[in-house]
Amino acid sequence: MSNLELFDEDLLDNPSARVPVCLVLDTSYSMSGKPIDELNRGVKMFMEEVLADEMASLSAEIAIVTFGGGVQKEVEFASIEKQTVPYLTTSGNTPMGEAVNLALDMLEARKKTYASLGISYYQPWMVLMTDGAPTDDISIAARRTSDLINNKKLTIFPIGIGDKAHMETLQQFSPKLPPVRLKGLHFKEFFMWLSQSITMKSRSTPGEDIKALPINPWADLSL
Amino acid sequence: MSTWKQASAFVVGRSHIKEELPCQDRTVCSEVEGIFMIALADGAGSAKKSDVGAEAALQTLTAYIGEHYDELIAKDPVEISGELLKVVLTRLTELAEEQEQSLGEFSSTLLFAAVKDEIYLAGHLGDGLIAVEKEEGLGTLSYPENGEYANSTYFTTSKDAASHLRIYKGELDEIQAFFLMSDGTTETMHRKQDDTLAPALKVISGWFDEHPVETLTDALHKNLENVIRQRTMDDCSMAIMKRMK
Repeated sequence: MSNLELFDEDLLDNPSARVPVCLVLDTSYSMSGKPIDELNRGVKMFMEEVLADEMASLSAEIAIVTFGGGVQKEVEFASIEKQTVPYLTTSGNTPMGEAVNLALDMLEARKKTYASLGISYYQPWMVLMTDGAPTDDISIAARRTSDLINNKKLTIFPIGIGDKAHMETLQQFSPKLPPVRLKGLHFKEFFMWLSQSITMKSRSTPGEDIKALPINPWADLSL
Repeated sequence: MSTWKQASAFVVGRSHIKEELPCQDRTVCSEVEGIFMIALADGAGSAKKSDVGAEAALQTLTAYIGEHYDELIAKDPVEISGELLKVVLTRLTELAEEQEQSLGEFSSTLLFAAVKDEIYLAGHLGDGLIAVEKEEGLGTLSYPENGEYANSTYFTTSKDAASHLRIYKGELDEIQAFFLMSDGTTETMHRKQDDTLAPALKVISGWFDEHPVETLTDALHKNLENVIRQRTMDDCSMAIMKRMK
């Protein structure tokens, strides 16, 4: 059998299929103090967890957009080993509509980059987190996310933080999944869930339905 | 009459080993009265009986082509795809009823190549790849058809599956070998960025000139298990036939 063996040089490599994930995070002034500290810890742990997983680290591509005062591109899409964990600070009001529009534009551009490089990709994910109500017009952004979701081109996870989070607004972005309120400041539990979900997604093959992981570690499920 | 040597193998993927799931890829080689056929099916990920569906699809498909080759080859591709899929779906529906499962549980992709004398008939539904070898080198006969996303493709039970079953037929025109592979194997045999086929196909083709079918089948199995599977999480399979001089 010794002459019937294939070697590495006989084979080719393809880049891993990518899972683009955009975090759209509220950093308005009301997030000051413990909420922003916990959010920073959660984001750091999230990026470390993704990096630690063999498959997820090759597949996940993370971008972070914040809305507080203005809208900032905190982290651009790239492979995770090239990224640094941002330190988020709070400021001003809540331009959520502008932030979601920017995130959608970034996801679209990233998909075009994948296509031009012959890289396969999974349906993009967006996480939208807020502790209040928007201070700008969200109608165009909400229509865009709803159209994409209804056409199976986006999955959105709308998360409310604290009692003042305007869940009805979050619902407008998400025609399928209802918004969920975070249990206390359980950002770490949420981001752990998100990294595990990305790992499962990055291993999925055609025809495989990914069963959603239980959300009770981080979701306030009380009525 | 031309003679073709055939060999195939399938191995369970690393993620299915971890989840204690069976291999959902299946392959078949057959010869019916001078018609040489190879076929391959990759069962849908979450479908509970997709290994059974893949096997049944292949057995039904190759038996039907063996019996109706001359009639099929005279028809146009749209008729052929409709007819073949109807036969496969009839069998899968019977199975679903027998086993009290929904039809979708028996979903798989479908790849096949059949040769009689100097004429070939091939078909491809879903992902995976069909390559051919000619005197001038390797070429791709049929590319994977995914949806927009990496984890989407077309299966035997998909809506409008017949319109996605791509049929290829014609004179062999110096085709010396056919290679069918599932998407797990395609990851290391075809580079999407520059549309290049791996030198491994040429290496394997060389083995066919020197070794009997049993040795080839064993070698395919060992290489899928020890080399190709190590570069993917997915099930891996190949079915190959080469013309003997």
